[in-house]
Amino acid sequence: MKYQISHRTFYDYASDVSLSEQILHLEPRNTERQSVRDPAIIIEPEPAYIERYRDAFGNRSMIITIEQAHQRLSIEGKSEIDVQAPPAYSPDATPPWEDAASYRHAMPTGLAATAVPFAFPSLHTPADDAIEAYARQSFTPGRPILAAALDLNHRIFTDFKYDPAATTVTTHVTDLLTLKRGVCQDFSHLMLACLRVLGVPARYVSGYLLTHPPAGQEKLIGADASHAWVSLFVPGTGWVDLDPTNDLIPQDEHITLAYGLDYADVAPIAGVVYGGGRQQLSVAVDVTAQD
Amino acid sequence: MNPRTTMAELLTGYRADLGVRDELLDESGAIRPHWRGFLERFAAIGTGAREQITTALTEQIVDSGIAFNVEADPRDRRYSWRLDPMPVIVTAREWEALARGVSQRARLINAALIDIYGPQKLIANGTLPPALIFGNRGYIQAARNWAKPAKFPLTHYACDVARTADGGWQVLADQVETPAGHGWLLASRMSQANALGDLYLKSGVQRVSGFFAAMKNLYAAQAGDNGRIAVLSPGSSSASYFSHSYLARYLGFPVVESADLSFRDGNLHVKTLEGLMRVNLLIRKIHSTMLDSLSIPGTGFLGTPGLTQAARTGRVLLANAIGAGVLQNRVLASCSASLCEQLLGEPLALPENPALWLGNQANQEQVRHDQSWRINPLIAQNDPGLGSAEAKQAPNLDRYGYRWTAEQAATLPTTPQLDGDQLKPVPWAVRVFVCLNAEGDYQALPGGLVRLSRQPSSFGLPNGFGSKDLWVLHDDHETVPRASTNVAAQTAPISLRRSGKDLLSRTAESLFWLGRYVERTEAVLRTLNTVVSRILDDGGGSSRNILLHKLLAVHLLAAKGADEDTNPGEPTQLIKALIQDTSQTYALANSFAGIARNAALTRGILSQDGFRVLRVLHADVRWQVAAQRIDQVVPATLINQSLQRLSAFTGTIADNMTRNDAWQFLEMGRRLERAVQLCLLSRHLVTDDQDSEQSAALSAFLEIADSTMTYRSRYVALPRPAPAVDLLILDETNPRSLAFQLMVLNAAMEKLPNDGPYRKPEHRRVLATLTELRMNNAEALVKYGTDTPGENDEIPLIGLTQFIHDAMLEVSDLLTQTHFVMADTPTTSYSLKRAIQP
Repeated sequence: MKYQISHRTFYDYASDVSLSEQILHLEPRNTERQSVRDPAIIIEPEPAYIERYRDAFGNRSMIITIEQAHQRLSIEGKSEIDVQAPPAYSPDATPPWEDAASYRHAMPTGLAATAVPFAFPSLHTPADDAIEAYARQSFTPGRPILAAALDLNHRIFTDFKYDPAATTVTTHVTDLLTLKRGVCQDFSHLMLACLRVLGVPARYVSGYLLTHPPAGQEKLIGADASHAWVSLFVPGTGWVDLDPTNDLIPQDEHITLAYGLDYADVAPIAGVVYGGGRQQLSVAVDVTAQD
Repeated sequence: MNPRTTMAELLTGYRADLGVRDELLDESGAIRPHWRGFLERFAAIGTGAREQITTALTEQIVDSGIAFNVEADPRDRRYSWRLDPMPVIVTAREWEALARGVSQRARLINAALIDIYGPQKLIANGTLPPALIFGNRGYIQAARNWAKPAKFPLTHYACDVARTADGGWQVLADQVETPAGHGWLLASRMSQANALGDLYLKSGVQRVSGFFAAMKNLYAAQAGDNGRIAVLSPGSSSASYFSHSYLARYLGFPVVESADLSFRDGNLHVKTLEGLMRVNLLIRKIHSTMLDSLSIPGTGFLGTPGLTQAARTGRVLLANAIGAGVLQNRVLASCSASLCEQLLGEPLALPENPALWLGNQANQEQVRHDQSWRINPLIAQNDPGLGSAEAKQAPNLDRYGYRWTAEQAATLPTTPQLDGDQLKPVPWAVRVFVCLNAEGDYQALPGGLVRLSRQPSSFGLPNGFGSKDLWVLHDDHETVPRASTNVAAQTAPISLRRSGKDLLSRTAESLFWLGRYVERTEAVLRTLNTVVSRILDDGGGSSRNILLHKLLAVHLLAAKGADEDTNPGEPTQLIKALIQDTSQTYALANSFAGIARNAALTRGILSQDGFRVLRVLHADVRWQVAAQRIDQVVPATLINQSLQRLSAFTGTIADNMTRNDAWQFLEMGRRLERAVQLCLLSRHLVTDDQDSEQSAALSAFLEIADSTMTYRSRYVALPRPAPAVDLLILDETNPRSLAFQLMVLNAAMEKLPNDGPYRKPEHRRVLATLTELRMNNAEALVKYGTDTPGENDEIPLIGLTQFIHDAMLEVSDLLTQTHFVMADTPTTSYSLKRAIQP
């Protein structure tokens, strides 16, 4: 599938911002099944300093500083992307999950070596007894890794209610098990915490999801949103994406922006502003499929 | 006194434990030859001289302000530094082996860091277990795969070592992230050399200055021509602040904190009075995880946003590099030997005190049932005075084993310590310092920070029982040490601190507040002096007590002037509150703390004597005693001595400080606070009454404002409102008058840097206030207005001084905005992420 993406973010401040420093992860990266054309980022007001670089995970990153006083910051990321669906997987034929969990003791070779840094708890994916107990219900001894992960994916989908009001960007994963509700970011963090407490490597994926309007209705502009899911390393197969928010294996309607250990590594826009007072954020995402 | 007899006396009862290495005595119990010279001389000087040395050493330590925590109470013994007059003496040959070993270790760590933050071959080939690095909290993912990685991620390093029974050395821990202790070592050496005098000079001790000269040259060369270098500090509340600020002063680099730095145009800048100035190299004393909230997850609001980016692009160099702490403490212990063979192609020189990384099951099993192992955090920082981190509870080794290490206690050797007038063997270990030089070699400092232990064994460097200097002797045939004459010395960096032109905003702020606290202290002391002298002079009486309450109410927020009709009694409680009640803005305890804090932050600018006088002032224990004794008034001598110390301080700085921007800020702080105090006094003590009570109040005012003599030289009669107000408020020739303070404030502001065509807002405010004041005359100020007489009417002076008081506080705020703060307060913004409905 071919897509045009537009991701617009607006910050409105109550008073002048004198200095703004932002790190952007807004240009989608190329992956095995995704190729990106003409990525562009449009920023208003114009930054005094822009530097593009690849971060430690190879994501296309950008750091900007805006030194002129402003009360509105708008940032738009635009690109065209070609996405291929993954091959069909045979979950029950994958190796036992303990194989992947053993990587942290002995470094594997090849593609698997790139997975090892993702096998440890991170800032937003800590480990504790409750998380381990929850994970082990799916990860029974010797179970094929993808079958176990799909089971976990399904349990998070059924045990947790989607509720944008329940959590904030600072909600801790360890509270989630009692809250039983959250959004895609929370579910992804929870799933990663479950996998990593067992030593299974998996990464956090930031991206977009194509949405379909209700039957018979026009799709509204700006109605799409950024999304997050998980990518699991399956020995012998490679990275397999899993979306616990929607209980599925992403096909060609999930578009990858960036990946990292957790949200903190790949927030589309994260920064520091001096001054500005109260700030209001609005985001509009359009994912348009081309024929 | 016969030296030999005395040496024997000194050594009476000195017994080294069997099987434990002793520095002084060899296996047969004989004194090792290299100790003889010093020991004979030390014995020969006699008991009295040794006592004098001990006393001198204690004074030196108080003087230098060596403290583990400059904000801690200087009387708190936990933070006091104990330095033993007996050094540890080591021969050049013995030292050479250790120096080679720690230098090799520095090369090893440097090479390993390059690999860990680059190709990671050591992980791929199995030398480093993946969990040892990726599960390590010191590993900073954001520091990996930079386009321009530092050639030397490790420029300075410290190694904690202990002697082994066979006279060799073993490694207790690596200090890689923010190696601490250079300043303590320097201050100890200085104190030791001063206290021992000839005993030190005649002993042929290798100097440590060459090491620091080389360090300075290295950083100067790395920072490039005119490159600006600073020490990045977590602030004066940090346990190692003394040490790294001392080092900074010694090297001539300013101390900056995260908030002083700003990322613009891809570069890092420091805020100075002249504006933002680029910084090229930072000697980092802040942990990697606290450096940059923008790039390093978990930093919260700390750090300098953008610092990582400036480092990534090579526009600022960090010493040591971000993430160096991945090899902190005992990370290398389990793999140093194979790593050394692999990276350097040579055998590891220094053995490790046994430690097991708990990231694998075999090691976990070994530790689980053996009590001799102690479990510690893998990358724990151990700063002397901070204490080493210990596991508070048994960690979950199955889940988190890779973040822990198990250590065996190292058996410590002994060395003589002076106890009374006899030598006793005490267990010791030492921190040794290494620095890269401009030629690219690692060199060890000939000396070390010796720490003593009460126990015969220790996990890591012992803490809290005392320190010693370590002397490395010159070889007999070695000539006088060559002075370091490096080419790089020619390109030494321009000091931010000295030129006055680019005074750091932070330093300017501290000077301003130091001035305010000094003046505030003086005002309160003078009030106390006036009160106490009246208590002592007079037998009692209600009118006297009413006056005393009135005087104390000037500085106490809740205290009201006493009821006119009843005798309020002795004001003992109010005096106590004014000394020690920290909820009172003007309490001496608060002012002393303010002086201590700001003096520590501006130590490089105040003269040595100025700093010393302030230290003696705020650290005077008698104030605590005075506050605790309810039954007695404060001793007048204590108040007077404290006032004399303040005069000594203002006299010293007036004599010694150059009249640069630094001076202007100290001056502005003093004048502004004095103006505030004069306004407060006027408001409480002046009425238009002509009675004896008013006279007494005015006498007190004149006394507090130190203008009694001037008044008497002009007027014979008892003080009256109009002449007193003329002298204390309007007289522009009286250095104690309100008008005079405003004039000096104005003059100081004229001299400050100003890039625009107009005067800064705070300056305009001062000018307006001064003009307003000058429009008045004394008679009118103390007369009720004839138009609107009324019950609550006040004399015009009250309104005027209230106006000036408020204006001064506003000027203080405006100064802060103009000169001290970077911009507004930063807030973090994240784009909130919300998923669509499934």
